[in-house]
Amino acid sequence: MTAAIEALGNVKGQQKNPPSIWGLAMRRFLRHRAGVIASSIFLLIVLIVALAPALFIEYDAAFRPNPLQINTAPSRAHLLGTDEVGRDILARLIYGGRISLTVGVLAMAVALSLGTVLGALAGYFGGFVDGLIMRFTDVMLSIPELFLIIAFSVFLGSSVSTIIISIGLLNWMPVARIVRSMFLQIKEQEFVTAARCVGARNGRIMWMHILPNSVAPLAVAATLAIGSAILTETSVSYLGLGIQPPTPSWGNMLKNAQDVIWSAPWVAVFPGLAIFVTTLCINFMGDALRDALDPRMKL
Amino acid sequence: MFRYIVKRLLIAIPVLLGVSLVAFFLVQASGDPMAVYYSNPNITAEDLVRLEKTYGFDKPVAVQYLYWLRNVLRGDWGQSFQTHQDVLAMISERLGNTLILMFTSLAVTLLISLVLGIYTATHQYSAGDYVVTGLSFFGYAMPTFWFGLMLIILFAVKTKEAGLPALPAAGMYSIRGERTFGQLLLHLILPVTVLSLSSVAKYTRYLRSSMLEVISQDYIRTARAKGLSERVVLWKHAFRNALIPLVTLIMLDIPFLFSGALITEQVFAWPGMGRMYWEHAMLVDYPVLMGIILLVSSLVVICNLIADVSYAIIDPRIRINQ
Repeated sequence: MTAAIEALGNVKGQQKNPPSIWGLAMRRFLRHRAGVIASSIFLLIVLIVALAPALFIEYDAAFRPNPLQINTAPSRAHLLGTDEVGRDILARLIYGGRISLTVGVLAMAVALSLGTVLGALAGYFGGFVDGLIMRFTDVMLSIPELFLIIAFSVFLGSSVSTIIISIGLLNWMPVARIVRSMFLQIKEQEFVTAARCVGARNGRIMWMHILPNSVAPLAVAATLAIGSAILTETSVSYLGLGIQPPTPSWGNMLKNAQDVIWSAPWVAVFPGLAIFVTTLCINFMGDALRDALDPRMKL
Repeated sequence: MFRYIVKRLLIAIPVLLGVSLVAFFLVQASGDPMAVYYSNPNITAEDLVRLEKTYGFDKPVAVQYLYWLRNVLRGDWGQSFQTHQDVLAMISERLGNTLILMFTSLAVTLLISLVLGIYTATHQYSAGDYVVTGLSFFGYAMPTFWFGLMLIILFAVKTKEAGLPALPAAGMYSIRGERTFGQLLLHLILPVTVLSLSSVAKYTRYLRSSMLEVISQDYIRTARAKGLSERVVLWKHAFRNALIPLVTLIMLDIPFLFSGALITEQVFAWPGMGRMYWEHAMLVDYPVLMGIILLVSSLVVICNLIADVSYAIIDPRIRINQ
């Protein structure tokens, strides 16, 4: 008898296991060629930015002014040239990347948590709560982001943490809308009624039953939000109201570039290229993730 | 139809009030509005009390908000801390220049993305389609200000170095030249290119998918089945239906256009409202910041309202399925 069961098990074991949902998603993601290339490049950027300062970039090169080498063109000693006070642009690019990427990820986290909570409340409870939250969303969407974020940084000052919080506070609206529409759909389904029948409270239903089923669109939104947060931070820093020197950010490295654009155009080229390549990779990743997680989802 | 418009209006009003609350909050957070008078030796203690009464600063915050709202509706938007000019007058001086930039950009954007959108939809999976769709990703990811800097390097700096005719990279008119329309057009080329790039990318992709969706509808097959030429099918039946959702998209994008204009004006020293906002942010001049935020956001809300209504006029299905 036991032998028979074992044999059965063996037969089963030889069959290929049906792929799990995540396995399928992974397979679809890997089929998206641009997405795979973009993820690898993004990973490479993250690794360089995280490890290079410890391994082979001198802190002084990025932070100490050197009057003997102001605005020198790219050379063997300074692969990407030097800036207006003689600091190595490559070194600053790497340190600046730490700031810009951190701001992007953390601002996304703030926006994601806020948007999820508000969207979930609106979608789940509906009625007056929904109306109130959605009108508030409309108000926030009506005020052009850059104007409000400049006002914020004038009010709150512009340290790295206030920039993260203000970008987060101004980017939760799309997330809230996505979560709300997911909750509106899912709360009508039978497993939610079932959960309610066995006595689950609202909070449990919201966070344990509905939210896990909205992960796919949230993951896509979160990925794309990192890209737009990086673009926002660099724009504000370029305007001189974001990350303040001497702390480098990809945005504030371009702040003075315009003054020397006639004599030292390379100062303007590389930080922007870094922003561009990074957001491009993030957008491709988001696109691949969308294909992988929810093929029916629209643009 | 009437009911629909009323319903939209009822939604727009609380949003406008919300925007005004945000602006009022900014004014409140900016500190004591009476502070400018304290240092003035010509103003006595009685004057201060009288001024407080006139402006309602002795009242609770909620009442102060109503006073403030009344002043705003009457056109009294306060004075700049820096120039002591009337804020509304300052804004209206600059608003026109920003609108020139925005409308030119919108027109250029529509023109290009309509052509590209229809081309890619009718030539799906062709080489041209792949190129345009790929480029649209680049347009999305491009930081506005950097794109501007690169265009300046290419078309102003490098062309001049090479002795070729260069495009102007700053201002609305050349400093010494006359203020002619031709000068204005020449100065518009680079800023409009920069401001249009990401919208062109977005609208092209949107129009492509919207066209493809319409082309797969039954009524397109019917139109073809009754023997209409492909051109009529495409332009009279498909295109017009694909265009409808674009109206909403454009209106929803107006806040982004304002933000984009702020950056573009900064890069190209365009004397518009966005640049004024930036200048006064650097000077910590709250009344001007508040005024511009209030104006820009109200414009956005009004545009959204117009979009909703015109959408309902163009497409009867919206009114019925409301």
